[in-house]
Amino acid sequence: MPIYDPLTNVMPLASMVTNAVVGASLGDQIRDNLVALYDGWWFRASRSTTTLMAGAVVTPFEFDTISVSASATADGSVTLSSGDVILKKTGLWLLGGHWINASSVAGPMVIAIGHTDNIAPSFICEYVNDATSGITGMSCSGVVEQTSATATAQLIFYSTSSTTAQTGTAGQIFWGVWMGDRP
Amino acid sequence: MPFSDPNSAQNPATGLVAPHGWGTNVDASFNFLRGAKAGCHLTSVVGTAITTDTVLPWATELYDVNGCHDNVTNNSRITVPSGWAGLWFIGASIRCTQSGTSTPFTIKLVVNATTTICQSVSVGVSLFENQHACETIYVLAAGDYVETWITNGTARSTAVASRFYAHWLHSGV
Repeated sequence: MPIYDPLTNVMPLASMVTNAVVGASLGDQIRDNLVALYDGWWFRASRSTTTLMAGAVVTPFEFDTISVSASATADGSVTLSSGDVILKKTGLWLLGGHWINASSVAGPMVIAIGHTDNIAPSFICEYVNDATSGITGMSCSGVVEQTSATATAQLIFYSTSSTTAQTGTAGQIFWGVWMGDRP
Repeated sequence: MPFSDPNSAQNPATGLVAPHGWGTNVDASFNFLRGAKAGCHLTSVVGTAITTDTVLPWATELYDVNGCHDNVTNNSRITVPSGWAGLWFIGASIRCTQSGTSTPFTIKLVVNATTTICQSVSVGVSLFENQHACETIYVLAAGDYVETWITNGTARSTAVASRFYAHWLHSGV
């Protein structure tokens, strides 16, 4: 449910003063606004599958489960479609993610977060690890202003080596919190 | 203060005038939403030898709102206080002084000593410091605790100038 002005949508202030009445609808909207502020909009997506990550190919993780807040459920602002997280709420989103590998892999490995309004080569965040061994996880987080009514957000994994391919085991997490309208 | 539905206390639909109890409830809710929430920000891990899955102790608080940390008792933990279950933003930034070899440096955020909710690894160059961060959100119940677990390839490293923080965001529903 969106945050909205109950006095605009339900009862003009002048009418309320004249009538000295607070209607049920006005009360419901104030209550709904409070619920939305308490619950907020957030998601946390995860994977239970193992996928081969191709070298030198930007590979968005495909997620198969997602937890979303009541607000995000009520207004359909966060959904999962073909493994992608779809965001339908404009404003500032704090997005983050990480992947965990059961066994160590070799770099160079890159984790990044892409968004329709801020996609490669300008990711929301991007982090490279060029260790030759021992990489069992990577993470990054950042903020994006969503201006599109509908946007795709992706947690991305790739290797900068054309010869490197790695298997990411279950443990990838992609999360986001709506931080409000643009200041 | 957990959310309390004003309409369940006294619905305006039952009367023509805004009931006093309803207004008081709304006022209390707004005051809660603009006030300080549960959360803490910890600093200063001092002289901790790091091996495999070393749980870092945190002995200094930048701040602690609603008592989610103790500098002495179980000082490795940020614990969700009673009444503050919900969605939390949790993160840590750890600096690890290398001991002369290039070894993987792993940071984990672990809930109740069992569930890893964030993990990241860096590998430094000999004699250089490693610094690494990990952030995530997670739904926690009252009494749940989060710790920073660090693994390094040698047993002679020390974490200094580090941060560990957690803040309540929403009710989590």
